[in-house]
Amino acid sequence: MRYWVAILLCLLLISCQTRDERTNVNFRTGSQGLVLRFLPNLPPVRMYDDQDFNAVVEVWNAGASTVGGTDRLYISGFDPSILTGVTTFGQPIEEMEGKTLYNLQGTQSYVDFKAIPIRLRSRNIDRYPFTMLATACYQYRTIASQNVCVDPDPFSPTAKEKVCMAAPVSYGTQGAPIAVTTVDVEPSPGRVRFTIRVSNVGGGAVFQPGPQYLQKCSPYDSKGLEFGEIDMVRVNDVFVSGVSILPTCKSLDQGNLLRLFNGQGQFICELRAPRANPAIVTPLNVELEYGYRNTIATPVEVLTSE
Amino acid sequence: MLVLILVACQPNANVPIARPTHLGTQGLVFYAIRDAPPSTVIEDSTVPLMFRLENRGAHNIEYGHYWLGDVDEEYFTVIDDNQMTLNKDAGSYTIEGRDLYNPVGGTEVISRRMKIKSLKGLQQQSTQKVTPLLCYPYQTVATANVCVDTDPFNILRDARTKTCTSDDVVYLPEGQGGPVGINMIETQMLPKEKGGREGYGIQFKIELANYGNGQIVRQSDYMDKCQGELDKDSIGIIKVHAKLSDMILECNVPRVDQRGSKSIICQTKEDQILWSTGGTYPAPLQLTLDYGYVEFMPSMHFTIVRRGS
Repeated sequence: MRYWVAILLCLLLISCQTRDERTNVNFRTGSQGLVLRFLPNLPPVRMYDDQDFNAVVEVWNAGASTVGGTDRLYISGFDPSILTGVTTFGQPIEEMEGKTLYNLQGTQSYVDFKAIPIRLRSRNIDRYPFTMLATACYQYRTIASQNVCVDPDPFSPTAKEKVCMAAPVSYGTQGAPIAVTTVDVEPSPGRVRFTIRVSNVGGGAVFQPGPQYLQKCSPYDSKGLEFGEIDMVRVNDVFVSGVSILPTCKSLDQGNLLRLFNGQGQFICELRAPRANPAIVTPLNVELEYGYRNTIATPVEVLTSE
Repeated sequence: MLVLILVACQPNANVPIARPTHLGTQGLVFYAIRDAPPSTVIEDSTVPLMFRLENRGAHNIEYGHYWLGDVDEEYFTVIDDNQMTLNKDAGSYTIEGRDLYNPVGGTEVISRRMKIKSLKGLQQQSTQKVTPLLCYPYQTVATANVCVDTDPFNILRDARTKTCTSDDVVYLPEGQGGPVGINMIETQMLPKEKGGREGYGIQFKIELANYGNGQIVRQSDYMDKCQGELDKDSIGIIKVHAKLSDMILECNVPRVDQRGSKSIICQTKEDQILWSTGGTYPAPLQLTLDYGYVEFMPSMHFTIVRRGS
């Protein structure tokens, strides 16, 4: 009898535990920002020149940052004298929240493009095949956070008990196309150096943040993004234990811009701490901001109806 | 990367976009009709002379002419229905070309009669021949998707995704439904500037070909050869009209040789500029070639024999 009472008591205790599973969920994962997709048959693979052209791009904010406002979506890759009525200024992307603790899927919206094909017979052709491109130009943010070991006295001759040993930390991905991949921690007496590695993991093109660069990202822009603007990420801040160490960061261009080579870059920041302080495990947060461009393609063929 | 692979795997934009009727390398084809004339004919008789013309190209032939060569009036003459003797410019024909409703093209049978004269003296037989010459105006319309590449040197450093490049050479090996056609088109973008803005002109190097065995002549003079003598200045003259999307281009067309293997240059006019704000895209280039075509049929042989032999 006593045995059964004990079991019941245990069950009661377990069921009365309050546990918020959400606190264990890391929504800042994944290597994508906006994910584009043409809806099936929009545009159709084949269409006739007496039909109106309609393309709908599904825009899914699969990352952990909010988009919208100045961000735009363009379609291109066709002869504007054959497929008429498409604006070269693109369509705005509506404001879309990214993944959050309460929304692990991100949000979706749809951008619609309409066009009117001319009669192909007027050009003496039977069909006009082309590859339609949809290009999204948007501003995005990466917020990366992992615990690192800050040990201001790594070579202490006295045998002190330490809670951690400095070691490289893998950051994985952060729900954004630009990721802080690893942070190497190099402790030395009185200071700790962090080598922060950044990588373009989204498969698109990254460029300086700012509305003027978003404009230049357009496939219709006459000048396009220039050498000093492409492959640039702005480091907004680097925090350790709630203290900004951004002013100490090296290998950054003016405006705290980090240049990526072959999609990768790194910069070094340093934290000064008295040697007397004990080794601690503390979060190192990195915040990056950038413009990003994703492009998708689909084949389309316009056929004559005559 | 994925997009680049996807774009690279797309079917090339430079695929034929012309109607199926505008394929092929033939214009007017001809056949002698069996036993017209018979291989052996008797003096002082009248025999049929017939041949069939088929328009296998995509252009309608209007007022094509024929002339009967090698007629030795000592032995025979060609007469019409009114018994009138024909020699130079023996007649005309109008034959429709291939289209959607008539995918094989039109046919016409030319039917004349030959009046065989008496053999002279002790002559027992004589072998003679008739060689028809066909003269007709023709037009070839060639269309191809070419790339309007407003960043040909990849100056825009932002690695913009392009669905085509001006380096793509367009090959048109199947002809365009005429005896003269286009084999190949090379595109070159030419930097231009207007009002401090940089843009591009576009130039096409177009390789012509004479697929048939005939001679290309100026279209307005095509009848001359069938009616008398052709001015040498008319030989090898083709008029080319080129249009890219809705822009009319200017063309420099040299005189072509017998095989037609000459390159012509067509390009945008001085004031026509393609801006990079238009992006990069495939666009239809339409080339219209107007020419006259003169071609001999194979000779039709026959032997005249003495009556009663």
